[in-house]
Amino acid sequence: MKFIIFLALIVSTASAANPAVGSMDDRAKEIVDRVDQLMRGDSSRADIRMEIQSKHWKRILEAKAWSKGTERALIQIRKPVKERGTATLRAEENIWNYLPKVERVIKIPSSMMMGSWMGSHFTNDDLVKESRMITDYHITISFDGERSGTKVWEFTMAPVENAAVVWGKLVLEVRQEDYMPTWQRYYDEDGEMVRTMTFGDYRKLDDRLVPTLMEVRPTDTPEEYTRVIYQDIDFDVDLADEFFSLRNLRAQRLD
Amino acid sequence: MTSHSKPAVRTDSVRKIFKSGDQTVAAVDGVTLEIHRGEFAAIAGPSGSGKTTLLNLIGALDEPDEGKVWIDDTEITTLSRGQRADLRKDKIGFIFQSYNLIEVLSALENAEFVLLLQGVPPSERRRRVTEMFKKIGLEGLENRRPHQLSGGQQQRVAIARAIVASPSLVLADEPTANLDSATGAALLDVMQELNQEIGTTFVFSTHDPRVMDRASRLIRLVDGKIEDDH
Amino acid sequence: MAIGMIMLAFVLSIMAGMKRDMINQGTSLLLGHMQIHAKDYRPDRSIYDAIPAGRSDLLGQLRGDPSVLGAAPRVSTFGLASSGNKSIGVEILGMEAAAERNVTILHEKLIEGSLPEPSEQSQIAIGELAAKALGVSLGGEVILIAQAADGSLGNDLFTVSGIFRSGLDLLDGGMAILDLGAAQSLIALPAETIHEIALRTASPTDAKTVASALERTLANPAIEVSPWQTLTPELSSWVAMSDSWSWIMYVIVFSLAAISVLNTMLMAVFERLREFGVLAAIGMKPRSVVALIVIEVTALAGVSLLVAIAIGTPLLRRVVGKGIDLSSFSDGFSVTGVAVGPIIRGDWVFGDFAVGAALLFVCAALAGLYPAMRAAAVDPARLTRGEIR
Repeated sequence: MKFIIFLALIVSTASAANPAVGSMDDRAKEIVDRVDQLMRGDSSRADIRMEIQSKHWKRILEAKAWSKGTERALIQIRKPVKERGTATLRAEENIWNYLPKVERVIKIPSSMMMGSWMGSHFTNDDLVKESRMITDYHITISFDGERSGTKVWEFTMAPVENAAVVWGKLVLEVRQEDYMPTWQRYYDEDGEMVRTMTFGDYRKLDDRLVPTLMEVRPTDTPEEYTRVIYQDIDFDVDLADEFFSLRNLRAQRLD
Repeated sequence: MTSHSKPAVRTDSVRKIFKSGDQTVAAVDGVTLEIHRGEFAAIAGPSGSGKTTLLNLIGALDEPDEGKVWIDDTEITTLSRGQRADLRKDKIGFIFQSYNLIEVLSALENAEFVLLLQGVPPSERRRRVTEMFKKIGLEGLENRRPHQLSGGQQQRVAIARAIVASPSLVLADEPTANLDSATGAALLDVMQELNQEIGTTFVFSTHDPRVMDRASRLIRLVDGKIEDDH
Repeated sequence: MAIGMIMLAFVLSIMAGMKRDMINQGTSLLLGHMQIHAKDYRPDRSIYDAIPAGRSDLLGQLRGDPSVLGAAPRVSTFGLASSGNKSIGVEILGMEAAAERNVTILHEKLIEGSLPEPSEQSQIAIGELAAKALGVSLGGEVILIAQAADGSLGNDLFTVSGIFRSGLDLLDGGMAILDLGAAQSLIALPAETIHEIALRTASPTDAKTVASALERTLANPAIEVSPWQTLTPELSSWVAMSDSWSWIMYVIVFSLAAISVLNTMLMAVFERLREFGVLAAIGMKPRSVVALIVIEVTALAGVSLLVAIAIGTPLLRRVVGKGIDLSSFSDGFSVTGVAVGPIIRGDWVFGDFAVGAALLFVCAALAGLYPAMRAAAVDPARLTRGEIR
């Protein structure tokens, strides 16, 4: 993935335009390739704001996020003050959290991958799974036409046989005019919709049109959501692999 | 010997057939007979002449294949097994060749068993058996077990058992066959005494001439038929 | 038959003992005889579904109730325990060590140290397997992370004050015990908020009735009192299964007894044909003969019972007292989430045994019927024919 981490996990699905998957619909492959091109950035640095609305509370986090390639990302929370410095590092298949209160780094065990990331509606698994999705899904165009006055494509992604995936089906809608994703729906293995991701506030940041708002809502508790807002993004920043280190995970003011 | 108007046992043309392989043998073949109260009758005949079978028939131990048997006016061939058992209990005493006392019971308990079946209360049973034991010379042996008694003593216990309930008829199947002649004679004395004193009706089978001599009536049986009756 | 009875008593005793152990272990380790929750708490165990009543008032009321012998308040959530670069998912249970001692026996399962005390808010007790997985020993440090009630990521550093071994992997490998206050502060809950009250009553046997009585007493529709049978359906189905095993035992023992009676009595009848012939000849009715033999069999059963009691009682006393030591075969095992120790102690089973003995009498009498009928069918005419010796 070539984008910052949350966007990455969405678009990577679409970017599953892997030639290795031979049975893929050619046109679908071409389009998702294009979407991927638009979103592509070898590395990025972003200022994000995350609003988490649960049944019992609402929280607003502000964080700085770095990414490189599909396998490296670092997120450091800046606000609220109580949680400043709390950070997550993803390198390859591993995730670590840094907790400034106890000054310790914690590796997330694989048994906790479906647990919530920082109390949001994202799971830890959302942070690591995209590299697998490239090979794990068949992509077909399930709709091509106008919806609410906008020409869109709808892609349906079904897991290939024996793929070790969490979802039973994914459906993604993309605007034809600018290849911007509008929403993505997640279904479990029984075909029940589990959550919806909505994109919005398409803006040019660092000369690139991106959705600056992403909102995930669980289907069974629709009053809850997690909203990620991109306040600023720099693409193709100079970041060495070594930047995504446990030392930097603990660093208090990374820039 | 007095003859009463009512017979204790009456048979009318009774036949009893045994099958052995394809052969059928009429062990009792058309016997018509009346035995009156107070008689001391012997059924005699060589072995295989049918005397035991006849005894079984008039003792309601067995059913005839043909003919009828009355015991005290009760026709037994129409009775059920249970009814016949009741009839035996109330009307008939049995004395067997091999005594057939119950090993686990004392002499006294053996003798009072029929009274027990009849529902006579314990004290009454004891009284009657003790009296009977005195009469037939078993006094002092009440608590012995059968195996602690001589053959003659055992047979006396069997007599006591057969007689103590005052049956209409006592059937004895070769009662002295297992005894030496002196003991046998003593036993016959006892039976005869009882016959004369209490008027108990005895019918016994035998092939012993000394026993036949004692009988007031001798019924000779040959091949299941009465050859002689006097 | 006596052997059958001893076997029956023995097996019933062991099964009753295992059942008792299972229930006691299952309830006393951590569960309690019953638990109080908010109506919506189970089975999702959300930290927001706290017991909707003042903690001190409710505990006061419970501890004043004569049917309650102990009441232990708890908070519970799920989180991550971590030490060094090792992490495991755990259930975090906040408890008052002093109150727990009146309800559960977790403190007896400590192989090192003690349960966290209220005076030491940074203490944690974990199971042996969890300690191994995290690579910590007594005095080592463990970080707990859990979603707090305010949405923040609750995290704190704890020192291992106790390591326990319950025999249950679920507990030994996935349970972190904190003081109630420490757990509340970890997940940002006020001190009055508790999720669970575990109760001990006089006996786990009548938990169902006591629980519903208690629920009526508390008279709060938002509060639920669940007996252990509801809390661990596995355990109660195991108990039901063990009861049906008892029935299978009954059937086996009774069949054996019946066969032995049948055999013995048939032999006896054949040996005593002459006697039955005599009895029939002197006027005993067939049904009286049947009755006689059935009475004899019953007497035999009675004697067997006495023998069984005479031999079985000391045997059972041993089984109940010392138990059967299976430690040479295994270190104990766990059945449906309950650890059963290597020593299995029996239990006195007077009631069951009385029922069993009574049934055995009936069984013996029934088994005696056929030989009895054979005896009653003896033809007395065979006596004089010399066919029966």
